[in-house]
Amino acid sequence: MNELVAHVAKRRRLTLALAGATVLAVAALMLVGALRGSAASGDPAVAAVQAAAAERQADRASFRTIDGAVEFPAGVSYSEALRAILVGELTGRSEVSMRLVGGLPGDAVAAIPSDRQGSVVIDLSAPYGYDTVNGPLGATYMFPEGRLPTGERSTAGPWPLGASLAVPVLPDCMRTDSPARAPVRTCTADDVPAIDPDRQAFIPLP
Amino acid sequence: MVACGPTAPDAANYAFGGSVQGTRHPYRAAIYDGGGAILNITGQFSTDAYFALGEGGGNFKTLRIDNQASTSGNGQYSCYFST
Repeated sequence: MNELVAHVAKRRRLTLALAGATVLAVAALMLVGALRGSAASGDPAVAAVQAAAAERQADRASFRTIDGAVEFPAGVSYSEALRAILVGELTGRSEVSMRLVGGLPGDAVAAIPSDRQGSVVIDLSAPYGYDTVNGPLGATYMFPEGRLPTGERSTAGPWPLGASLAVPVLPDCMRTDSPARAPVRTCTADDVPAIDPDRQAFIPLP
Repeated sequence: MVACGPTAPDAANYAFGGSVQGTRHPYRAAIYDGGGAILNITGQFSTDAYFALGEGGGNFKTLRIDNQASTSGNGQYSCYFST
């Protein structure tokens, strides 16, 4: 941890020294971000993913009113589907095909079939799960094996280079095995998706 | 509850995250804006981890790590603002 503290302190000193350059970099990134945000996706499912993300960000408390879900082809895992949603949200591009469908029943945010013959469906109201007190959870980037972020960004999208997406372990009230079935129970304040790197609950980002 | 911050120099161009080691589990992490509203919150971590919650473009102000297993806040916490 001492090495970590020293590393962070060094980074912050460098940051101050480069403050002037950062102003220009920020301006450039804002321009890129504006262009990215204005680029309408031609894929209606990806467009819906982006619209839902914007809606969740604008009003956390009303996330349950967001309707719709996206269905992935058979063989796409829950982790791969969640990564596709994140990439779609942030880039407007789809890694894999997805289809806009109706929202999931009950408190479900994901339909995860018991085998890979079925299709994963993820609800757009809270793709990463939710906390009944605070609302929808955000995507969490992980740095496996104790690596620190380098400060560089991936060329594939606006996330840290070398990061993985944390894949939440959903409580059973937030998941079902079929979009036709509600979860076995409703959620309570104690139900929170878990993130557990020791159980490989993460998937590398491009 | 452990707070890091109060702020990144310019959050629009920074990844905002942290690490936890040696604390009791579970814990959650959240980033807040200047008014104290949660902008992003994680699920419940069950192990030590390095993570990032904010990545550019947000009005990020404070990162808090909420240790739900203990109020003592034992363990080691750190935050980073990565350009």
